[in-house]
Amino acid sequence: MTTVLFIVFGGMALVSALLAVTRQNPIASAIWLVGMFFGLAGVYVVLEAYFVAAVQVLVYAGAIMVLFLFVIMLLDLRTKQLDEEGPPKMPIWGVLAAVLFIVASGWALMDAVGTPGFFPDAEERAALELDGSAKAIGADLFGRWLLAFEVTSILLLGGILGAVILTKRRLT
Amino acid sequence: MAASFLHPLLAAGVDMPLEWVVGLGLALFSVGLLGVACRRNILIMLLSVEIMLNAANVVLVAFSRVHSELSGQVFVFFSMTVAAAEVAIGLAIVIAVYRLRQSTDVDDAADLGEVDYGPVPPLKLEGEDQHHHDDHGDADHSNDAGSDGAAPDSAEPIGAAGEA
Repeated sequence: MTTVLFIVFGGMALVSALLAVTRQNPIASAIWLVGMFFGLAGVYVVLEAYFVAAVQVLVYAGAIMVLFLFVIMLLDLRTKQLDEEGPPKMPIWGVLAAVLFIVASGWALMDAVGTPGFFPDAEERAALELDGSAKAIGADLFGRWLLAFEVTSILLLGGILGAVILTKRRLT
Repeated sequence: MAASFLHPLLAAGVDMPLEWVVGLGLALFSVGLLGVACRRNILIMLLSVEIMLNAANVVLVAFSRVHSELSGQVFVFFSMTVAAAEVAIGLAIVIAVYRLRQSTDVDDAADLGEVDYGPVPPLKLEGEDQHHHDDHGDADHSNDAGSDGAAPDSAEPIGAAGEA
């Protein structure tokens, strides 16, 4: 059952991502990317990472995409101008780089699958227990990873300051 | 183990091969790489970076299950925080570049050298009234009042804006 669900949600994510990078209009790209975020949220639910799935929808599909769409609309790109440019040009070396990556990493993955004990087999998977609830993740985040969590706040502060300074018209 | 609120069909737990999830992450990363390498629109390049970060998240969650270890899922939150900060900075740079070059094409911003592009044109919002928010002080006010961008006090290149 989870296999079918994974194929549905994973396929949705992959197709949406492919469509997102091949659209000419950035708004269409952003909307397709929302589809990818929802597909990935489904994958996380299949993997029983419930809290991660919820945060994926809230933070990525909610906050980050709204920020993206806000900036795209603010820039006011004319669709007429986009139509004149025609479909996006995909340089062959770029496609080659992507294909080379998927071949090389797929090879490494096949190697890992062939190694006994790297990935759990069917009965080992049935025995795996992992609580992906908000309670368990909160206990881990504010226990073992408390220092990293606090450092993250400095990163966000830097992000805020950087965004304000970069978009200010003049620094006086 | 499965949560009790789920449909009984899901209650059997994760019975799919986890290497497929890693494969999905690799494929998504490849798609993001395709976007960054091939597209010249800076907004779509940023979106592609988001795809690559999400691919890393998928692999983190997959290995969190493989090792029955919650840290992988905690790291996804840190990754999301990094993505949020990256998007905020990236979009600020997009706005700054657009203000300078009136373009979202990275090839138009290929030249970061000592080139004087003249005064920084203001970001034009659709339907924006020329006088409607003038709370910047008198210098901006004189620019708005018809003496356009060629006025000597406003014709400073970017580098000199800091001393003004």
